[in-house]
Amino acid sequence: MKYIILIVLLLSTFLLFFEGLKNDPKLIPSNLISKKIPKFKLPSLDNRSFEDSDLRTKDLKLINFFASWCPPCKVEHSNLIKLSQRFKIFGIAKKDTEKNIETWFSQMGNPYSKIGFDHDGMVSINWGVYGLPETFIIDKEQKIIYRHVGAITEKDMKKIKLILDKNK
Amino acid sequence: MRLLTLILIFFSTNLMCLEPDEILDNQNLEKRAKQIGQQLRCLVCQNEDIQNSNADIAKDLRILVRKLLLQNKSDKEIIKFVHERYGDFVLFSPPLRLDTMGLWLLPAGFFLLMIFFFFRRQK
Amino acid sequence: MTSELGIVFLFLALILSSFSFIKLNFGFFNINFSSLCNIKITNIVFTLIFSSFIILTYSFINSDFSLDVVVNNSNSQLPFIYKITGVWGNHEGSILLWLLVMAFFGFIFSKIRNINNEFKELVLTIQNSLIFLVSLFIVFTSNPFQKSFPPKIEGVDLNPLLQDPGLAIHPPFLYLGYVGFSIVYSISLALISNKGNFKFIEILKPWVFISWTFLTIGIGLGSWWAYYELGWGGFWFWDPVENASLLPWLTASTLLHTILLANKNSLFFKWTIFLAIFTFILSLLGTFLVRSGVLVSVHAFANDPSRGLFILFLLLVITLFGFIKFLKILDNKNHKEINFLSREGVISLNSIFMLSLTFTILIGTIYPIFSNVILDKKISVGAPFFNSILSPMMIPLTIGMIVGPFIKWGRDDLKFLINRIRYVIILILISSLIIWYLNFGGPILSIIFFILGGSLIASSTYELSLFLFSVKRKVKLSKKILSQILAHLGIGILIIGVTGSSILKEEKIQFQSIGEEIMIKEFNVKFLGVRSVEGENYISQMGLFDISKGGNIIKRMTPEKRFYNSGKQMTTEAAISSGIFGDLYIALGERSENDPDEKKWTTRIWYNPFTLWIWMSVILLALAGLISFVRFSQSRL
Repeated sequence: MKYIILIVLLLSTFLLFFEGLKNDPKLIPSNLISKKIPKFKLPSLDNRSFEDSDLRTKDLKLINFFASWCPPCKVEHSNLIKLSQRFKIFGIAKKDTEKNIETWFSQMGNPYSKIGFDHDGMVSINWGVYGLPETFIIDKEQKIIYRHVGAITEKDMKKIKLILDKNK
Repeated sequence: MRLLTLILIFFSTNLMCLEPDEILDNQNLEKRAKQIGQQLRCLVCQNEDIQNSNADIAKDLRILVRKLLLQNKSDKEIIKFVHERYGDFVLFSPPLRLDTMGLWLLPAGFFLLMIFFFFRRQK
Repeated sequence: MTSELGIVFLFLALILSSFSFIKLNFGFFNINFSSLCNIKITNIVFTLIFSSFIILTYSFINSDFSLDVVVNNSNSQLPFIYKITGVWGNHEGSILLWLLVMAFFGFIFSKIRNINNEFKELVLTIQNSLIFLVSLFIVFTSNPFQKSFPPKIEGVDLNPLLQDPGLAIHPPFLYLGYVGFSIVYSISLALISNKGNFKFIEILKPWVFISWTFLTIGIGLGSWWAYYELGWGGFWFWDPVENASLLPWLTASTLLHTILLANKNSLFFKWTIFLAIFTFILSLLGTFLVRSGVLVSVHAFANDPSRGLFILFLLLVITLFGFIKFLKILDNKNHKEINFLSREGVISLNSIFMLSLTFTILIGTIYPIFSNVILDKKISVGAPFFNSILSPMMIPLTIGMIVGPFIKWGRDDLKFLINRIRYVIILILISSLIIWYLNFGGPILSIIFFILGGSLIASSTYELSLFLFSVKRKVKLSKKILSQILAHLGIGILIIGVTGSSILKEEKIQFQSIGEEIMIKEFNVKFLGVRSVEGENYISQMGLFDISKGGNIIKRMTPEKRFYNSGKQMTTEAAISSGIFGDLYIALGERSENDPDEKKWTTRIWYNPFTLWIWMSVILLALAGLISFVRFSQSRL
């Protein structure tokens, strides 16, 4: 009997660690999933303003937190441009300047329908953003349904497209 | 890379933790800010609190904590504010809930069991 | 060419030790392999592994950039000493060192006379099997002799944080501690097979004490390094990796107490065997947590799940084998009664508290994995949790340490006990009052712990004085008692050190202009400017500070920021001026960007009360462990 208890106990611990090995400890789930988008109001690239009401449209959209000083943001740029052909992508630039963004876009194109400037990073905090870039998918009811952390690679594209198609 | 990559990334520039211009003039508030900062985990760093981390997000959160303190928010409200946005991972001391029960109950149960066996042997 | 020889030697060691492994497992099924001489295997395997290690060291010294590890962890510019310590500044090399230590302990054990040959064979069969498992791990997942394609002409450099004397010697000590418990494990399992012959427990004792001593020094060095190198004066972070080293230390510390009673009472014999096995398992668990990347930790090596899986497999095999053996003696129930009020009773209670503490830290460390896998929730368990558990637990533990040594063996009487410790009580009351008076108005937690630490120091000193100034000279100060007194004194000093430097820390962070003076505690810190200094393989910005006290300049302190030539990385070298009451700790930051005169720099100045006491306690504890080691290695069977 005691041997059985011992073996069951050890094997379950083993399995626990084994499963634990598969997880990436650095990936943190968003606390905002299936919640309404937070309110915000930011100065925008076109010298007007970008606020949460701009997202109140009856379609699926993406919101991307980025910065021109962030190297992985440049990696995902071409993929964002591909996505922007089918979906609206809004951008929030963290601690960035108009000049830097415009130089960047003149070289690589602009996937964003609208860009807001989060100069002090507080809007990013309201969205629970912890590293750039981060991409949120927002459904027709202004609810956040998915968050992707880090650059969107080809592999991530498939997953994101799947989610977008499912919620269409 | 076989190097201690993580140390490299997260400690190599560590000297830029709390900056003088972040510090509040009000010493009591600054003291509270420090205590709150020690409760919150820097999300991109490896097991550091925001108070002693140089990461961008840690700095933003430090500034946020001080901003909320100046708005007369209580310590609890500030921690709740950050918790709502970043989830359980940001708290170094997990909230007491059904799913975190084990963290307190298992050690307590273990201790009581041992004590029980010890005193049973006395008889 | 020599580097090929290194891997060949490892292969030979693997094959040779596999014979012991096969023998052990067939022994399990009662098949006889009596002709196999494990002592010889141990000696040859040790020689092979040692040669292999020498070859790797040689490759590092010669900057042989045809090897991957050398490319990634060394550089031709590197100072000679760090070329050597670079050997274990990486995963592959450190695991090889780990294996070397394991073989070394087996080798030394095989050289001991006075142990009956049959028993020696049994122990070495198990030790060689452990060596077999670890060399399997090295050869298949962590080959340090991996060629680099194409060969490089220059190395990346050793991580600058590791280019430091403290961290250079930290891993060897830590491994001597961790891996020392492998021989403790092997001896314990052999003791079980030996049908619990109590006398044989004497063989185990010196190994337990020496491993514990090494582990203590290893943890102490790591903590000391963190204190002066990370640039803000922290010394313990409750990081999973630190917890992983603390867990075996706690069980080993419990083991130190139960082992003294193991030949008197079969209950303690069982405890001892259990703790001996468990300590080594916890050491392995620590290795798993560090090397697999399953947890987020500051010290983590590069993530490699295949290695994690392999260590997990080793962990399972070694745990299963150990505990299945242990269950054999669990049923043996004919032990003597234990009185609550007796030395045995106090040691039992101590074991319960220490094990509960261990269990709590273990749960706290792995609960995030559990929560993630089973509940799909990411949580963090950090310093606030551990502190809230440790602080209340320290109170009964300290009281036990104060009263315990005065309680008689077998059975004691409360009235006599109180009479015996009346002076201790008076001493404690007086010192408590003094501490309370000196800290009046300070944080309540610091007063409580200062009183606890102070009381423990007072009672240990009193105990020592009983022997030193005994009028009748009847009782001689034995090594046994001296070691106990030093250890408890060390813990008392540790409590003061930890309390002072964590609760009463003072900090001043500011933009300091050249010429400006900052007051902290009773010190005046004057900033004189920043100078450029060139080191062997780095350039540094050195801040100059004059420290004065009461108008007189007492010291010049020079914190640095170093920029390494090869890796383009930066480290902080804090300047620390240690004193018995506290350390003055200065770290240099950046030049202020908003200052047109370029005369303002960020400076961080701390006053860390009693930090020196932490390091003193490590020395005392190590000394206590050594004294016991010497005592037990002299009195063998």
